[in-house]
Amino acid sequence: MNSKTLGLDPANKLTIDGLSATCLSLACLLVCFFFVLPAAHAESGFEVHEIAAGVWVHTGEIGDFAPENKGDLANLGFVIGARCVAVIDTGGSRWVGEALLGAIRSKTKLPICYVIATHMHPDHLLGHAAFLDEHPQFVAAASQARALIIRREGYLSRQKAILGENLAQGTEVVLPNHPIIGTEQLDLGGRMLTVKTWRTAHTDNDLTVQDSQTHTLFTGDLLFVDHLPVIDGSIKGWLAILPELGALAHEEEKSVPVVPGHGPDTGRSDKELQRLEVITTKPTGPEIGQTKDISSAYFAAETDYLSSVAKEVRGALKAQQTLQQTVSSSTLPAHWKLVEWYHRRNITAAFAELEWED
Amino acid sequence: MSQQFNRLVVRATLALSGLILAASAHAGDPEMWSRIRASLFQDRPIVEASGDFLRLDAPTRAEDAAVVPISIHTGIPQSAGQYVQNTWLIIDQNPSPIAAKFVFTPSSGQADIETRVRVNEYTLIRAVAELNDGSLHMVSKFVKASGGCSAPAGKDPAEALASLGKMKVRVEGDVIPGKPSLAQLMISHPNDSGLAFDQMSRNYTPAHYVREISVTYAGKKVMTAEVDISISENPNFRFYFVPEGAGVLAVEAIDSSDLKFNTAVKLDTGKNVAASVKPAAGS
Repeated sequence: MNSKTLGLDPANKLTIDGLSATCLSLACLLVCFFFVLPAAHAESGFEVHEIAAGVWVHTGEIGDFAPENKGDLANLGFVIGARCVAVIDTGGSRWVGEALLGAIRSKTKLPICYVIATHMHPDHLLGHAAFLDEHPQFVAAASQARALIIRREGYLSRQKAILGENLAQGTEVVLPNHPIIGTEQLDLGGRMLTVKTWRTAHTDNDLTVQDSQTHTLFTGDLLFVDHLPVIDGSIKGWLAILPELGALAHEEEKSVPVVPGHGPDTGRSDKELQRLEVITTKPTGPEIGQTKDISSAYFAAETDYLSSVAKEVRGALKAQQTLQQTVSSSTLPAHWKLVEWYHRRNITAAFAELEWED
Repeated sequence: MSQQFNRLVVRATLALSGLILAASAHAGDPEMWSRIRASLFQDRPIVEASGDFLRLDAPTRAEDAAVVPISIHTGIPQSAGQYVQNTWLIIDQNPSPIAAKFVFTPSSGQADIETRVRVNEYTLIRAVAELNDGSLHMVSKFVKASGGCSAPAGKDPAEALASLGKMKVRVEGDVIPGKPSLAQLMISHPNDSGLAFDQMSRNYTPAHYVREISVTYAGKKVMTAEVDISISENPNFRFYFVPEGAGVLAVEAIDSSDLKFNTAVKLDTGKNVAASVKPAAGS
């Protein structure tokens, strides 16, 4: 997800306000429906699976904010220690946050000591408000507060405009009160989480989480699977950190469980391997058939896409093409979802960044 | 200075009327345009220009509302007898609709301009050209984009601060005396719109943007631009000038904090040149 779809949009907001008068009766029906069933998450199919011992994951839908998905777009997780629980991302609405809290409470009664945001984007942290009563520490990269402060009004108004008054209700932007600079260990009792910040890549406030016990790696949106990677930071920075991040996905030559920000995690191996054979048919793609290592294939696919964008844009710049020419002559990549929405945007972002290279 | 003040007054008036009109604001809002029109051109006649004479290119749907490429082409060459004197770039529904006023001379060769703008919501974008005979000509295009102006400047604010004021000037192709040459100017500047609300200070971040650019070649004015927060971060312009021979293409940019940035490139005829110059000390 990115700031385009959730940018401040007064027109949209006003249109919704205007519409609401005429649609009041219909809206009222819906509002009543949801008010009566506020805790129906378990029945509404909010699923979590245990990717490793005590490490649970919810897989978000690949798509954009829409009333049908209630903002449930990002992968979320929680890790249960002996003393307390850490939550990694909370989804794109209070509704999703509450559903996640419900799922946690179905597994453990331990207190929630940390709610970690992997980066600023609304589909990852607009569920934070659901955890306020648990009084956790809200953990994020130190650079996130500033990024959120200047975007929060836009995120909230856009979310409301898309999801509607009712689904957006109770959603707020919770600023981090436990900023991370560099790397820090969070103690859950019997297991530690290593939280690590990165140079500007997907955004300027990316953070990853790794569990000491199972080595499970939560990449946030530094790794996209299936969902086209979206550049909202720096394509150069992103390409530069991918080898180091990819190395975290291996422990003593063995691959560890990896949870990307979007798309299937590595816990779903057999089905995934088959599907990946399809992804990797392109000549420069990852050689999954040889490695049988899903996370390597995921990292290779993302590196491949970002490299191809950088190469295409540098070529266009060298040929003295303009931004407009470069964007309109770019062909959409195969094997990714949401290319219609994000590929040309990525070309735009890469162009604006790389044109400053000497 | 008074011109700047006038612009501020116009901007404030438009912002106010924008608020009043907000409830009925729709794309292609004719009332918004009539206010802008009155403020800039009073009741002077404006001719709908043919594509041969004046053309505005913009994507129908912007990929990134903060970086929407715009180009204005004119069908007539600049000559002492007939030339485009001023061209306004207007984005009806932006908080500050008058994105730029470009001033050309016969030495511009061709009064074409390309730049990138922020687009805050679905809007008509207009180019209005004023010829040296005082006649006004307009083209417009509807663009779907939203969130460009209040979208915070900078995907990498630390980097933006570090490179503030860096400029790049490039001249494309060979420099041939008497023939229009195409130049590209890039200015590293956050061009902060000041429209992002800071919850901590309960205030809007202060605007900090490039407001004026002047370009000369061999001491003669080629192009001047009064620009605004509607121009994207790292303002980028492509324009023409006519070299009479070897000379220096000099650029001065002034921002809203009165910081001055200068760069210059010496051109020899017949040679392809490129330059990247660090800013002169700001004042």
